[in-house]
Amino acid sequence: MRRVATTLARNGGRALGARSGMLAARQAARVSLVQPAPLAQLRAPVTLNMGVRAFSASSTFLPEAEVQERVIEVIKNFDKVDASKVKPEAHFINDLGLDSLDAVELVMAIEEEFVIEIPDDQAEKILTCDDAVKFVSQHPQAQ
Amino acid sequence: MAARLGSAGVALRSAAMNAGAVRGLAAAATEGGNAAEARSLYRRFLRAANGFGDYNLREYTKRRAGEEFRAHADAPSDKIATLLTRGANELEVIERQAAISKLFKHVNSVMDLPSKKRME
Repeated sequence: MRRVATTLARNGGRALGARSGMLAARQAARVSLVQPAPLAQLRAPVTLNMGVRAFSASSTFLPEAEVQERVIEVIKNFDKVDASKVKPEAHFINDLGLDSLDAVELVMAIEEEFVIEIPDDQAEKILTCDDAVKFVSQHPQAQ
Repeated sequence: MAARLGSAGVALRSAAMNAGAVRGLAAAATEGGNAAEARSLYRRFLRAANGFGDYNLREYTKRRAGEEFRAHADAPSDKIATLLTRGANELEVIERQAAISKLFKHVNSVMDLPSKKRME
């Protein structure tokens, strides 16, 4: 008998708690309908969720030394290039003996290495290893 | 399997035709304003070729495009416009075939593995 009474009391209490909770929620909803929460409050959780993705500029650029090393590696691995001639300042056509189509292929190979897409007008300007290093290290999406 | 081979066959044939279209592009590559246009077209060929999942189709298309561009590297200037137009038409074929090839399953080639793993 005593146990039943306690259960009843507990359940009653819970029901009451739930009801008051609903009431509070309804009130809150009504309040937010009438008066929208301040923008800053709405945005706060969104900012937290996006903590993993960096949209800021500085942190996403690759270090120039790493870019140079990888660019040179790509160029050395290119079929028609004599690896011993590859230097940071080497010109694709004049120093490495490539034709203009090879230069296009080389720039495409660099695109693939860094998973970026270089637009035509920019790709036309990349004629030496240094040009490529400069472009890639200034590209925020290079990886 | 038959469907896969069928699509590959079509793609190969169109790639061969496309190679013809690429002709003159190389020619353009050595000339003034046309050179930039030819390089740009060549770049689009390479990008389109990357649309093939199958290693053989992809590499064949790239190789064939390079051959044709270079074969016409010193085409007479009056032929260049024709060659560029043909190249553009062939590029459309490649793009279409690459899109179609995506509808079919392909088996990865051993050449698709990173080179270090290939050596093991």
